[in-house]
Amino acid sequence: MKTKEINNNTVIDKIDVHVHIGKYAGSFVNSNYEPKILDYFKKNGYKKIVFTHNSFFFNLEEGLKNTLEFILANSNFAYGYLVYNPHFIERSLNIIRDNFGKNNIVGIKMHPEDHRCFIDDEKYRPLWKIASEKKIPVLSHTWNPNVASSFQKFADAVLFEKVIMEFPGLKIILGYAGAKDYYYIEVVKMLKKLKKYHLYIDTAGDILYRGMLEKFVESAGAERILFGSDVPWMDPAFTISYIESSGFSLPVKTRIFSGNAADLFAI
Amino acid sequence: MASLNNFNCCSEIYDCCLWYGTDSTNPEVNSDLKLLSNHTDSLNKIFNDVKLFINSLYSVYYDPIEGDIALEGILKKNKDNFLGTIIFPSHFILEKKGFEKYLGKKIKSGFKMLRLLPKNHKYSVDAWAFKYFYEILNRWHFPVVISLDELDITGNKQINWKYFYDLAQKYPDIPIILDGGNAKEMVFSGYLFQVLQNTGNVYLNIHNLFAFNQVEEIVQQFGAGKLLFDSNLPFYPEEMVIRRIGNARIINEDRSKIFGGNMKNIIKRITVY
Repeated sequence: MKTKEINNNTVIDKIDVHVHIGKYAGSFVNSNYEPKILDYFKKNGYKKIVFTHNSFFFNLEEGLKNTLEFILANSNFAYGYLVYNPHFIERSLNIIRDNFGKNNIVGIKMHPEDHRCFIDDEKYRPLWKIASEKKIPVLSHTWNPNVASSFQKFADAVLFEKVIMEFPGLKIILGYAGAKDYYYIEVVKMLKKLKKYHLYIDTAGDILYRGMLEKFVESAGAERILFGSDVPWMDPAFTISYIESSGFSLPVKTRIFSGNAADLFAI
Repeated sequence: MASLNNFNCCSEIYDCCLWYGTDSTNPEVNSDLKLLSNHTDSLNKIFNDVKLFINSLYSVYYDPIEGDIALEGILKKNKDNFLGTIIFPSHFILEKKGFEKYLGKKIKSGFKMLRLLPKNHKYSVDAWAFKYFYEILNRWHFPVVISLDELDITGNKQINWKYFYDLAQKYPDIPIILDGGNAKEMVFSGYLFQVLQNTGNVYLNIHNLFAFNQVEEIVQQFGAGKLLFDSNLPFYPEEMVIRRIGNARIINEDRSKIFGGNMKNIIKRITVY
């Protein structure tokens, strides 16, 4: 009779910093995923989430309304990002000024691919200023600019080197580690070089490459890695399995799953 | 997260897609015999019957004939656990006649699946262009695997989903295995579910059925018979996908089908003429 268990896992507390709430494009069938995902969170050690409401990418006021409503319904659990739209600078800044630090609003999300605006474009400069002044963590969609999808060129993670040199006080999370198709190798190099700055990566998305996390920990330190799933585009079960099957010690896994996020967002 | 004690249900595992060799475009990706042996040993500790379907990266990036000959040698030495996936050599498009003989020879050497790489190797797999080969594969009930990457011509998520309808309806005896490759488009269930709904012989490799609850939802809507376990080693950590299915919110009977039962049935039906 063979041993049928790989191991028994300790359930580690989790803070997922890359969650999407709200309906999205019609190509995605799981439109009614919210009740299921909340149940999943409860059963799998989730203590908190930091989310973006999908409507925020397209309509700032609607996005804010939906964000606050979701927080209100899940007040001990859900923390929200505001969205900065580089094409509607004043409206974005007004929303940030009025809402950051209140009602569980703890960060700003930017999406250079969706908004078709390069990370180092002047239109992001007002964001860098306010985020530096108010010490607001900024999560950015980042990606490999060389993939076939042409819009991803806007989201090249290594463009942040220029930004962080000019605004050294920024706290930036590189969503998806900028890593599709092994671009993480470039991101690892950048993080190693800019170790003294507050540059983080998250584990969201389909970037579950063998050995990737180990390289980030080795070069940038475990304190720079945040657990993020990109749910519902990713089932967190994949991301959790990915981190759990790494060779890290329990304290390192705990840092990644929740400790770093708790420190960064003060939640 | 539940512990991995759901394996009591499952005595066999058929890992339907893993790779041998080095990815020429990225030397970080390397799978040698040692890695494959370690993977086999780990699986042998959990499952009684372990079969790995190996694809040669050399066949993808250099020469399918030469790469698959090299792979043949490896299969011979590991008959208990290793099976091969043929990479379709595109010269058969011009010299069709030799294909049937080639396929027969490969099957005898332990290859049980054919992978098509239309984008990488620049040929068309539309039914009208590939008819000669599909007819043989249909007669032989021989499984064909194709990755979504290979059908995304623009790179902007414009997948030719209709390909699967046409192919599956015209050739109902070819088990058509849709593999996510490196594409995120497998999460677009709106299209994927339409394919499953309208075809009887399309199967999905599970390594990048990433969307939330997607594995569970497919099982619920279409049954577990459509899903095939694959690790996509060395691109992903070998344990990750095993854990995903081990911990999936499905009954053990379904888990067992996904891990091995479905693929076992597919290769049982292969008939060589």
